[in-house]
Amino acid sequence: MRKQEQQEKRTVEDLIELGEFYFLNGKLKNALDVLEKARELDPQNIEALYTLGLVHEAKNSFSDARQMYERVLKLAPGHKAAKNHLEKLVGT
Amino acid sequence: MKKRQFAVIGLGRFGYHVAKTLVEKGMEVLAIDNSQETVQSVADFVTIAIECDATDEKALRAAGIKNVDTAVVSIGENIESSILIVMTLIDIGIPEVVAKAVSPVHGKVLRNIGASRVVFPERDMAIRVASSLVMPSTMEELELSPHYSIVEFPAPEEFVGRTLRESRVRSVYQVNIVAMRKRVPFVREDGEADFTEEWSVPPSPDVMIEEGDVLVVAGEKSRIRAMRKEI
Repeated sequence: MRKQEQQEKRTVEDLIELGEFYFLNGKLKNALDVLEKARELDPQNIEALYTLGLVHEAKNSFSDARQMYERVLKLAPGHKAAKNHLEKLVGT
Repeated sequence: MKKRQFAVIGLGRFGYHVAKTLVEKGMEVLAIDNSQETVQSVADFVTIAIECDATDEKALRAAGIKNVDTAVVSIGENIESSILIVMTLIDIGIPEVVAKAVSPVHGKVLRNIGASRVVFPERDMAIRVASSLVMPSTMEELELSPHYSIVEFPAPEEFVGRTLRESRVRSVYQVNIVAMRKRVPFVREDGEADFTEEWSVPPSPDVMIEEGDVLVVAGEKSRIRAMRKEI
């Protein structure tokens, strides 16, 4: 892996960790900002997409949350937590 | 304490979910339908599942219907059967008979022959869905009477950072916040973040309103509407 790629990967992981920290402490706007940055750098990062789904759901932005969970399930059809949240949102 | 006993007659979509929910709530359920396949679909979770013609009083008695406290008649498509079964259950002496109606006339007949309660699942759900589409920020609305309702909606941004007392909902809009739902984040065993929902009923006036909280307000519909217009 090239040095720049490694650095980007670390940055994404750091951003996700920070996003989760904000989410766990109820700082939803901050969580959204850093997780969106992580997604820009790695649009297919499952953890970033799933946590973004949680943040949107916690903010009552159900349509955005649904989109995030759907993306997670497209990339990882066996993601149980995303499936549970999506089912609850869609009402199935 | 003796468990309440229910009978669910007709195991279509509505009856199936009534039976399932009653069992989940710890009740004993006698499930009856005239289709063997349908009876099989509930046999694993109900107390007793019986295939019989519920318009036949003898068959109902043989199924043990006399022991139930409440019977739910969930037959809509065949109105004649629905009416006949409700009449039979009342004759047998079931203390409470709840019946599903598919039209106003059907509902009126069921009421007139003595059903304790008539429900219109399709109509009620249609009203709820339409209301939620008209006011998307309203998550749930429960009509208490033509003039009063209970409405659930996300806490408006201007309330965030204030306590319930400071939001002055009661003094300004004359409605009451009867419950509040908070989403509490946590880390699951597998290390992923998640959240659980916690209800406060009734919430303390000193509780702080945070982003994402959901408020449940009870009051006059006109006052709730006025409040929702402003905030």
